[in-house]
Amino acid sequence: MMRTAFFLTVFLILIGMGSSAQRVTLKGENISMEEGIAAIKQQTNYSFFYDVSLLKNTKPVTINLQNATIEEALKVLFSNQPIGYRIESSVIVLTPKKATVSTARPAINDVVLKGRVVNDNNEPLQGAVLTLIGAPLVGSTDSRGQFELKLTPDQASRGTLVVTFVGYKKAELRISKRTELLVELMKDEQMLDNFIITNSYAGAKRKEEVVGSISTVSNEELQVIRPIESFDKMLEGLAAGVQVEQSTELGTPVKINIRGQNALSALNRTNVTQLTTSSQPLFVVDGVPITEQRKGDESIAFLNNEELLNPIAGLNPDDIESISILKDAAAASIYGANASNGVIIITTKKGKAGKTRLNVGYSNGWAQSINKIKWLNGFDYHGLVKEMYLNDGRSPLDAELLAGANNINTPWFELVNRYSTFTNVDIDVSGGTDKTSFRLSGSYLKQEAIQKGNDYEKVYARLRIDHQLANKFKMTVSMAPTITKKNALNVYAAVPIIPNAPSFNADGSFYKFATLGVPNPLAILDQNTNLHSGGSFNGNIRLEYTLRRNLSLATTFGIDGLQNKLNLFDSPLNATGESKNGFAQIFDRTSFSWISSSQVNWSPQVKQIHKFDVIAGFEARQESTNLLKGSGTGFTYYRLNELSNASRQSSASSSQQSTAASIYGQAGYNFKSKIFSTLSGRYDAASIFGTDVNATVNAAVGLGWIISKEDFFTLPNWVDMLRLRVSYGTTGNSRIGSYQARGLYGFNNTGYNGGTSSFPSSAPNPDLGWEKNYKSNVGIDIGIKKRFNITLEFYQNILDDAITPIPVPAQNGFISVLANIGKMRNAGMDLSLNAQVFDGDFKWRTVLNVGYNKNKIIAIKNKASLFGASTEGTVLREGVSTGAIWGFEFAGVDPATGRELYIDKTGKKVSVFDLDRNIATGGKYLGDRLPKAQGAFINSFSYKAISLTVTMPYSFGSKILIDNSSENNGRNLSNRNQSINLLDRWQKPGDVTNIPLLSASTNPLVYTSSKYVYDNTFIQLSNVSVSYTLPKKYTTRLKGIGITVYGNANNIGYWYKQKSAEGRNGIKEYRFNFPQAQTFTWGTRISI
Amino acid sequence: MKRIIYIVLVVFISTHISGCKKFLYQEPSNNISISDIFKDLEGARTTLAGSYEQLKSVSYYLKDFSAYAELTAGNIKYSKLSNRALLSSYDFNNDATLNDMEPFFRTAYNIIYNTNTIIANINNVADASASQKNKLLADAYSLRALVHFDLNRVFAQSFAFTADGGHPAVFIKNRITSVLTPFGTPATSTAVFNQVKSDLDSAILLYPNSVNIFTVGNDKTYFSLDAARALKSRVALYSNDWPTVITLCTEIIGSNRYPLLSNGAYVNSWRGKNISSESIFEIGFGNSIAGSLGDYYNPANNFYGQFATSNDLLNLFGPGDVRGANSMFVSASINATTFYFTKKYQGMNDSANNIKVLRSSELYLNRAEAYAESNNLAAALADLNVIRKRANPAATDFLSTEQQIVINEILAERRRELCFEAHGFFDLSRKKRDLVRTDCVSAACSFIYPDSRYAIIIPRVN
Repeated sequence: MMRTAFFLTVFLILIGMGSSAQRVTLKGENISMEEGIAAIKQQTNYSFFYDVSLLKNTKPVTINLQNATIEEALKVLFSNQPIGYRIESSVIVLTPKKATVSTARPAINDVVLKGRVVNDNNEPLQGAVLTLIGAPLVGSTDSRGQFELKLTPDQASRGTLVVTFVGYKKAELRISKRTELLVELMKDEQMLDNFIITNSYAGAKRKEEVVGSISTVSNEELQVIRPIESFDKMLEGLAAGVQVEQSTELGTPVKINIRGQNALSALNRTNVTQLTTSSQPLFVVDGVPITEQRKGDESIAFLNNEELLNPIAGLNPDDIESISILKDAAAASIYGANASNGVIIITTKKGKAGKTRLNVGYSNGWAQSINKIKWLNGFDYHGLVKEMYLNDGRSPLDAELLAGANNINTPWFELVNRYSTFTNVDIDVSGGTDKTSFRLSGSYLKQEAIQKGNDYEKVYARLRIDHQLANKFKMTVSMAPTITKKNALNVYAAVPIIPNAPSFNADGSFYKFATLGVPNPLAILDQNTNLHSGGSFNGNIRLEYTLRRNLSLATTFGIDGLQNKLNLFDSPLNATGESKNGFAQIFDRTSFSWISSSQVNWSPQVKQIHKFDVIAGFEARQESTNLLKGSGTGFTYYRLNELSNASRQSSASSSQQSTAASIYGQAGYNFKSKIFSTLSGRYDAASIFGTDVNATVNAAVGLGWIISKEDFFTLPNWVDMLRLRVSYGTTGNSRIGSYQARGLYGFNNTGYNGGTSSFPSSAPNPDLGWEKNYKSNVGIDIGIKKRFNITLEFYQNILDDAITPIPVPAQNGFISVLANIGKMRNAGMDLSLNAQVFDGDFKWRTVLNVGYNKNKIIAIKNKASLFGASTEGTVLREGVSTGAIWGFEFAGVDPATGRELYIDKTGKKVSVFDLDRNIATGGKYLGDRLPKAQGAFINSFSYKAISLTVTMPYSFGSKILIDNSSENNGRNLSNRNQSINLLDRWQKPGDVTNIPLLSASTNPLVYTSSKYVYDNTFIQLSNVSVSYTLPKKYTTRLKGIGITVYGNANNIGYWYKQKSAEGRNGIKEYRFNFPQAQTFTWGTRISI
Repeated sequence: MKRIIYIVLVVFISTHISGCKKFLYQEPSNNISISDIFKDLEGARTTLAGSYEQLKSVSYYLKDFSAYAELTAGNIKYSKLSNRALLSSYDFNNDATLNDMEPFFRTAYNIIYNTNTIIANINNVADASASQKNKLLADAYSLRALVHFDLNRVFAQSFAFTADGGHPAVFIKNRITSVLTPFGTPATSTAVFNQVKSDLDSAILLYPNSVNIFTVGNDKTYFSLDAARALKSRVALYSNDWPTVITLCTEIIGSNRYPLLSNGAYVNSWRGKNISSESIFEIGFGNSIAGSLGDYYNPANNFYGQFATSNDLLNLFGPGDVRGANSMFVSASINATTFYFTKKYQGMNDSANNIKVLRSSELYLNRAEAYAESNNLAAALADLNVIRKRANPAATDFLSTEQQIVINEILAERRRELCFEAHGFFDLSRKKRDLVRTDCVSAACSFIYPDSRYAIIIPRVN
């Protein structure tokens, strides 16, 4: 109650003070200069610009001013102080007073130095401060950036002029008798870094005020010139503790783990369609969350065949100003029930007042595959198949016949792959006036995959307008439509197609694999269709009204929509559509969400000592997905593949909707700019859970202390900044799909006898509730010699009541039900080192990000372990990581018999025939899919106009279980090609090898054998960019046109800890089913 | 001024909150909750149709269950070497976790859950008349009996495996239990047979006071009084209850509602969706691209087609038998080898064949066996010869006075007549016969009765 009364009083006082606009009331005895300045700042719209050291020699004053003008107040305040002042528009620049004395000296011998101060875009800088080393002389620039100084002859010949401007690097220039100078100031990245976006509600804050754990990535750090189609893939390694799982497919969603995986792994078991909670972070673009594309709620007609696009790919990486990644509870819990996996806040660029600027960029390149799996050639393949049949007891004649041709070698991989191309054009225009600024950008991207039949085209546009409607009323509008076209003919199967079959018949038609039932990939490329075409739209409008100087109302309304049409056609001419005489499917997916939030921002302060900033708001959100599907078979004429030409047609639709309403708030308190604290919380109610548990509250508290600002700590000279931070709080995860708590009947409209049928589709579980993620964080930030910045954080996230489908005995009618069953911990360390090693003509900046994480399942309630499908080796089990690989320890091949040997649970070496092959009873821990540590080492160098950036992501300690079907014991030999490793198979007693005797029927297959587990420890040379920017002297000659040319090599190579044997496949080749692309691009950027 | 702002704020926030309750309540649109669907007959009927539809699952009559008994009995051999369906069953390699009949187990109990839900909610169906409710109930009981019985055929040793029937069989689920109920132990064979019989008796009592509630499909594609009784005769046959078999079969055959097909009509009765005159219950196929048994039995499907006929079976047909290789099979040359595929299921997609579950030929053979086992050999031979001579009118009567020889011949006739209709291996098991597969490539082509492999271990997926 006391506190409320206190806040209320402060609130009223401040409103009272605010009403006296540009008049100043200053009263008090022995007021320090700081307090005086603060009081003026508080009561007026003026801000002060000064060097803190100026105030060192000031004396306290006693003042009694009532409703004075700003001029009067300043005059009184500084009357007896060693400080001069100047009012420039709304900035009060403080200067050492003696400067005025110097100008009063006899001017006979004075030399006049004229000059102009501009930024790197050649724009004038007003209010830049000029000082002379060793002299009390001071000046500043006018609105055109110009200055005029009077110097003594001595100063003119030997003096050094120092030019400073907030946000720019200090420039020191020898005058050397020059009388005219053009001073160009470079942006100080570190200074600009000082402001970061903490969340979409609170906006930017000074870095030192931020208590939570937030990593930021700027547009430049993102290196958007890389030929990568979406920014999520670009994030790899750029922020400590953010793991991006690479994929070799274009335009598909990428998995991102922030500080480890914060949801239990989905255990894929046959026919289990229930979703687990999403493990993806929440993406928020300019305040609008992006709807995640997930499956699981739709009716069964949509379960198969539809592929999803990456919704985040609708954002042009070039439009991104900055990315903030919220990692701990203090930062993220304002997002409450959606923040469990962390939040990624994307802020887009906006226009700046001033001259209208135009940027045009063009880049172009090509790609090739690297580290591809080596397959058997046709001759070796024939030999091995024959050997396999002989081992299986066939007669030599039979075996020869069954093995097929021995004189054909079809290089399927080469036939369906290519050198692919990459083209990107982007253009943006920005500018505006003090009241209105705008930025309009457009971009076209075309990227081919190295696999034929797969490409990706995108057209982006984005318009942002910031407008000051009235003195206190601000409006921001942004709109970003995107059009996407993607061809994704899946001919991955081409790679393992049997190599001793021809690709074409003698008559030129496509060869058919009559008995295998697999399609000819060349026929697929020629005859089938797999085309995504769609668009997305992201837009928002934000209105902000300033009631009082420190009290404002803001309301945001945003929409996010995605529409995608997927056309699939399996031609009747090849095996994919043959049995149905052509099979066409069209999937139409529309998802739309809107969000509306209204909030109050209040930032009072008591003297200069206690500062508060408070946000409270209400938010409502609705997400809906509508699906439409049409399919048809029996095409009368194979070239007419519209559904109307199908003799049988069917259609289906499905829709889901979920709603949520939330109240959120955040209160920050700052004591003397030394101690900062925030308290944030959110109440969420959502439609997705059972009715009795549909609301939850999440809250967090954080504390930051800048030790280096305390006088009682004597830190070594070389430490500029030392700060400690702690936070604790909860977040939730509501993304489990809709209606999962209810017992449901699912429908089939073409059910029994063609009528409507329904059947029990999900088991009732009225107790299903929210997951809670308890996050704690301790961090330390150190700044050394203005060059090195270190951020070290330790964290622990405890996920309780984790949701996963648990298997239930099938005789109960279902095989699984969603339940809050697990408890899991992620604990680790994020380290980020940032050093400006050299700064001068030659610059070297180096960044090292390390994310160390250990995941452990603490409890699986009422269950010993939960296993996934026998083929995938997944397990949820107390004491191991959720990424654990569970399986059987391989011990080589018995040289006597050629059969696999295993170490069983008791440590005994047994033959594969005697092994307990039940994963639940016979399996053991083989490794963790999640890395122990990962991050990147990034170096950028520049010398004058040339710059070079080298990015090296790395990952330690993760294991992967490869798909064994390319390298098993002979059972797949007859129907598909196999890894070249099979050449090392056991052939006769005494052979020592890891590949058993080849047999399709007598070798038991151990899917999750440790021989298929590889160590995925690597360092990648992922990107080298070189760029050359035309120096300013030419730019000036070109009337301000700036030109940058660059070259970029992406995915240059890997160093793997586990080496592949010479001429054989290992982790390097097996890591991706389909090889990665290595891309080389070059481009130009012109800015006018 | 201040006051206005506060008022605006209060109004703004309160309007937001008052709309909240309704805003946060979302009914699913693809699904209907259990409590909701039984509110009317329309909804209840879809659930019952859903049970029939699930008999058509790939894991049940559409492949796994249908083919299981045929692969294991040696009627089927694979026509291809890769992607072979049910290979573990063919090789008798199923265990608790790697079990290719696990999907069948799961589907079967989902159907049972559905029937239990129908039975439990019958009184909530507000707009149904008593006789409509009776139909819902009777069908639910019949289906529950059929599914329990089919489960028992696959996962348990036969009725007479132990003298007292105390050996473990399958789980009985005759009411809704929580999905979290622990695994537990299965019921005894006797208990399962009692449950099945009791469900069929309930259905048989209800049918006379019921009316059809379905608007689509032939009546024979749904359970009926005769279907429940025919199924009961099969259950009685499996429990060696000869008098019941004889009584029920005589009643149905005598009614003449299901006259045997003529020799001339026999082959064609297996085409398309013809409802055969002798059918008592068929699983109905609408026009559908969802799948068919033909996918596996038709050599034209070069991806799935693989269930060719073994020479063991082909050699059983005498010359002139309409069911033999030349008339009831299609041949195809695959990798230079000629394979024969049954014509019982050649239809694919739109022309998918109905699957015949109960037909009067079986009743003749059921009764023949019951007579023979009761030592009434003359009556047994009479029934046997009806089936023999329908298949080959030129055949002479089979005659013998040796009970065992007659029984053997009836079993051989069952194999000829009912092959590919989910009887083969179950007949061996209930008659305690050895497994002999000659045209077979497997580590376990033959074994001697008794053997644990006559029942599949109950799958247990964790």
